[in-house]
Amino acid sequence: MDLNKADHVVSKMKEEFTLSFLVNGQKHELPVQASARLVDILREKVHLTGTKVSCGIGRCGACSVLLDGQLVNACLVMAYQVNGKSVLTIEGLGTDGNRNIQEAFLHEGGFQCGYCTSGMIMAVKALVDAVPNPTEEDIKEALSGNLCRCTGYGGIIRAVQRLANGNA
Amino acid sequence: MKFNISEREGRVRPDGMAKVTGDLKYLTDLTFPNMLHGKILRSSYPHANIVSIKTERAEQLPGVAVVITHKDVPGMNRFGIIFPDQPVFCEDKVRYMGDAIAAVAAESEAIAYEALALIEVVYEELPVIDDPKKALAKDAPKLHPSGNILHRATFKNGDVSKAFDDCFTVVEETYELPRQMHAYLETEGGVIVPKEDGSITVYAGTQHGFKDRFQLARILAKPEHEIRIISSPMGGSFGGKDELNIQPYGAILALVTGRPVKVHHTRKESVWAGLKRHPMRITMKTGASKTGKIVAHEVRIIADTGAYATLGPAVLDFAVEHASGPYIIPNIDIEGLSVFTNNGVSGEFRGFGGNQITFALEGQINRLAEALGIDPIELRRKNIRKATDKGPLGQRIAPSNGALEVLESINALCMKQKEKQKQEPCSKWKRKGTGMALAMHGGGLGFGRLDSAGGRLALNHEGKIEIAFGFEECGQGLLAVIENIVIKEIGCSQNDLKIVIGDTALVPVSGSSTASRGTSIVWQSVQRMKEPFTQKICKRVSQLLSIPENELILGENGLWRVNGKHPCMTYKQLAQEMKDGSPLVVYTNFHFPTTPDAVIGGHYLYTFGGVKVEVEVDLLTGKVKVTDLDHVIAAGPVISPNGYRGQIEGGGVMSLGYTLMEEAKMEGGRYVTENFDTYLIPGIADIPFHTNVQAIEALYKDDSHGPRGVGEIGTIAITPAIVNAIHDAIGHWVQHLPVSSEEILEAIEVRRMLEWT
Amino acid sequence: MTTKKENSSLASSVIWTPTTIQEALAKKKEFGADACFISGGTLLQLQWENGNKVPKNLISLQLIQKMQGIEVERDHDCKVLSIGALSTLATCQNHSLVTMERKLLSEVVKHIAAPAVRNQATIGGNIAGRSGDVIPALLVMDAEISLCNKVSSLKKSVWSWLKDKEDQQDDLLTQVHLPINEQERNMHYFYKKIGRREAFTAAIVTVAGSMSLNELGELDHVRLAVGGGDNLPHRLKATERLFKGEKLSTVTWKEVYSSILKEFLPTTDAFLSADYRKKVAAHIIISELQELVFPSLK
Repeated sequence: MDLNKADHVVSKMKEEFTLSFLVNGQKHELPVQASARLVDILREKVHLTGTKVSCGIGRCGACSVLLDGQLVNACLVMAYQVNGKSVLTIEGLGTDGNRNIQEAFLHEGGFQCGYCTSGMIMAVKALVDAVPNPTEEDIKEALSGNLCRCTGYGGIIRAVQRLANGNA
Repeated sequence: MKFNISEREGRVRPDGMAKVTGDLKYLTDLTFPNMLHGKILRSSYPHANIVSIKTERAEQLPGVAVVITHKDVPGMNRFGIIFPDQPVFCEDKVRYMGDAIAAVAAESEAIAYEALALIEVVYEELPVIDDPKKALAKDAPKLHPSGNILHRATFKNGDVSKAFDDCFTVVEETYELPRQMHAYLETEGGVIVPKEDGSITVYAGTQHGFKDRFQLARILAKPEHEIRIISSPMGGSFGGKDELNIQPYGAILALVTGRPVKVHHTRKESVWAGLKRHPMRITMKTGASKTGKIVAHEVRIIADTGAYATLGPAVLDFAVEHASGPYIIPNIDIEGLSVFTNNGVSGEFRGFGGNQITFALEGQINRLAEALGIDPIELRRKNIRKATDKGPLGQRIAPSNGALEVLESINALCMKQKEKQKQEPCSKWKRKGTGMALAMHGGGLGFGRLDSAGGRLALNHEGKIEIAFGFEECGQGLLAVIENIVIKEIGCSQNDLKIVIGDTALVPVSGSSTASRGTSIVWQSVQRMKEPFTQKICKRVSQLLSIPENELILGENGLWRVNGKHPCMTYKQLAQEMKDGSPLVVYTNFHFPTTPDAVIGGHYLYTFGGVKVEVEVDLLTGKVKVTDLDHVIAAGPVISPNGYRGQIEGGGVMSLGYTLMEEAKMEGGRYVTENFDTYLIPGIADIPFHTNVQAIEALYKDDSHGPRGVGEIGTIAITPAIVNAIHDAIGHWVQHLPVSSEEILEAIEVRRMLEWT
Repeated sequence: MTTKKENSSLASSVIWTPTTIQEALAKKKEFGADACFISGGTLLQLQWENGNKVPKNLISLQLIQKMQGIEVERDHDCKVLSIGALSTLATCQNHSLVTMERKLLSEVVKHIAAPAVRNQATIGGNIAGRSGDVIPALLVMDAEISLCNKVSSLKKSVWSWLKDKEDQQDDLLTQVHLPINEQERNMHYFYKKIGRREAFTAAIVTVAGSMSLNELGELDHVRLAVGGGDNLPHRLKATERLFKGEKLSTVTWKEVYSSILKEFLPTTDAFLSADYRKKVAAHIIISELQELVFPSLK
């Protein structure tokens, strides 16, 4: 193993690098620090404040977004981990005209203060993309990382069940 | 999940679309050109003298605009809703870890943090009073000039000691309740924007904009009219944002720098500085006759109010008032103490002392029932208040049969549950149990407290029916309540309506968005305003169109002639017509309904709630899971079905957390739980999918007070109901919350429920 | 309050993105204690937020192809399920080879964190922290891991890796190997994680076990492991020996109980005592073994 040779080819990201990624289908190239949190980039550089910050340690889900279709906590994802990838935030959901999840939340009282709602809806999106007719167990597992302090989850469960029943 | 109130109207809440699309700007989402970021330096010790504060190194850091301390407070360096005893910045002493020493405004948050680390504070540590017992010791150091007792509240009736002598059974128990965190998802924060004329606009969540304005005026030494508070929307509050939090720091930083300043707590900062629910130690001695008539009730409450007063006195008064709940007990002796410590500051929290005292009270009733061998529901029936009985402090109250109606509904649910339980076999390693409890809860601030209410109704220049209240939308659904009431009472449609709240420049005085008073006040205000408003409009239109006034009605899109097919004049046309005339506006202001009897803090409008719950106790781990939950609520007509159900379900789960897992634990005056990794609130897997809400809508005959607020009532009965169900499952009474799985496991082992132990 | 935003120093960290194991090791060698490997980074960020020092150099593993992928390999007579250390927990939960060949791992992973974290966190990261909830399950599955350091690369059982305190932090965990034996078909496994909340919480205690009954009705291949939270994961070797050659009907459960209490030395924290954790572990293990012979309704 040639250690010296290896040294030359390792890429290094320090301070600012140009992050190139898609947000809600739009390409962005932004100078950011490699370790900057995705949630801060979205809120402060892309000016999309629908994604919220609450715990900052991936324990509440308020910052949930889809990264290449996978649910992640934007407070735990660093800039270099997003390079070349595609992010879907709450603002990008439903822009194709399909607002089923949002409609279900509206009609079933799936939110009150609304601060967890962006993340919660993204988690529901990840769930119903994978399992269109989720069981109680599926719902519990899929939404276990998203805390809501207002609803007691009743309205959220009804919203998901409404989606499953197809009458959003 | 059922609800006996079907969705009567398909309207979605007015703020709904913006919330589900992420478009709604919370006040912590705002940015302004040239904005600075503020951060606050909090104490390093729970109790210490400040020897010196040096800010020079921080000031010299590039990117720092200013560093401020107590020297920079223009006016009174104190705040507090009842007594202003909390320093904005400490001068010479810190009394808890959340005490502020200095604040920085910088070009970025990162620089602000760096600057905080450069502020040099020399402390001289003092002994930490981390328990009210220590604070009450004779030789305890005084935390405040007046000593360590913030407030003492008492209520006496009859002769308790004599009555105990005659009792067949007396039950005595001490109950301990933890410090609960509001855990609103949006932490405290906002932006303060200064103007060239010296005025400021404060964009920061609070439950009472005018109160913030009043408090800030004292701190800033500014007339109130130079301060505008924009206080809505909020990502949750639950009582926690009623007191000032970041506003004074942001305001001073903005005034000194002349630039907008954003301050937004991280979760950890929020935990350190923010309010919590009062931990209480409650001893109750309750005696009954052989037939189950409760005759004597002695109560001692010690509340840990933390370092400063905020609403501590009122919370204690509320607990004292509700110590006998919906039961008529002839001999009563209640004494409560609210005690200063070096722990986190306790203050307003949904339920307001009612949760703690009702846990103890309902625990007593259930223990008494067991001791007497009487069915707990029957025991309640024997002692429950009648509709026209006086209130718990002997004051006259608005008659209500809610207590008994709730009890009977809960009884029916319990019987059903027990039937169901018999048929469902339980796993070998689990035991199921059913429990119930009742709660009675006063709305409004109570006798002797300024409880101003009011609103404004107008046809504005855009042709909208504009209704304004000095309330805030914390998430509770106030906007939907306003919309539903106005549409029903005035007759206009959703599109004709403009709701204005949460901005001191635009709204009338309505009082605080607290104490389950919002719905009541909106309904009562509209009752007062609708006639004069309708008359004014009809009169004007009658003049303009020469149609008799009594043939005009307000409807969708405008005024209609009776039996007309279209509006004869739209609101827009009317607004055009009166462009130059006097505006069509009516106001109301009144005092929240109070008892005529001079009992300080005594309430007049009460709501009633009951819970039936099923739990499953895991014999291997001692863990308790709520598997079924029913609420019955008597609070008058339901205004907004989704909102009502959401308040009850959400309040219930918040208290499920309080009962089973939540504790903002402190050791030596320092928080052990600083974020959601250790401070656990219920997740979706912790709640029963079987949750029903049953609303009893009927009011007592001739009741003219309308629908009552339900922000708090759903949080109260659940705790004693769960504890009752645990007892039903394994025969063990819990008196310390949150329920410790360790304690339950010990009880299981003591009862030899596992053969190998 | 030393109010310093805990991860503010993260801004000054350098992130290295090697594409081979050798490059990653070279970087680690170059910076020593001033560097750490990072894959998903979910645990590291939590630790940094809680006050741990952020190293100046973060060596991201995410571009190393050799640490990805899940496949069934042959190792002599044995089939082995090999899992790249960079496989996310979500992949471990849902990958068809895992659900087909080692369903227990899929079950275990389901109890770790929540979906968003599982989509980012890797199995290598969970193990490398030495207290991950997956470890007790790996112990009862006789799992091995591949470790690379600057001089060599070796395969080691998870159990001996845990015991061997000499291992340097510079070692890079590259793969996890789960044996798939024919006799596995008759094995019974259990895994339980107990937390203060139903889901998405640190473990109070995590237990795992495996066993089979031979044709004489005797217990065979009993492996028991505990861990979770701050409890160091380990096998309960002494307790396992109690079952040797025993039939379930002849097991003295009281003896098993006291043996577990003696052998498991968990931590105490602000919420729950070591004593409680021991008892819970013991109760679960006993109940699971009893379920084997006297299945009741779950």
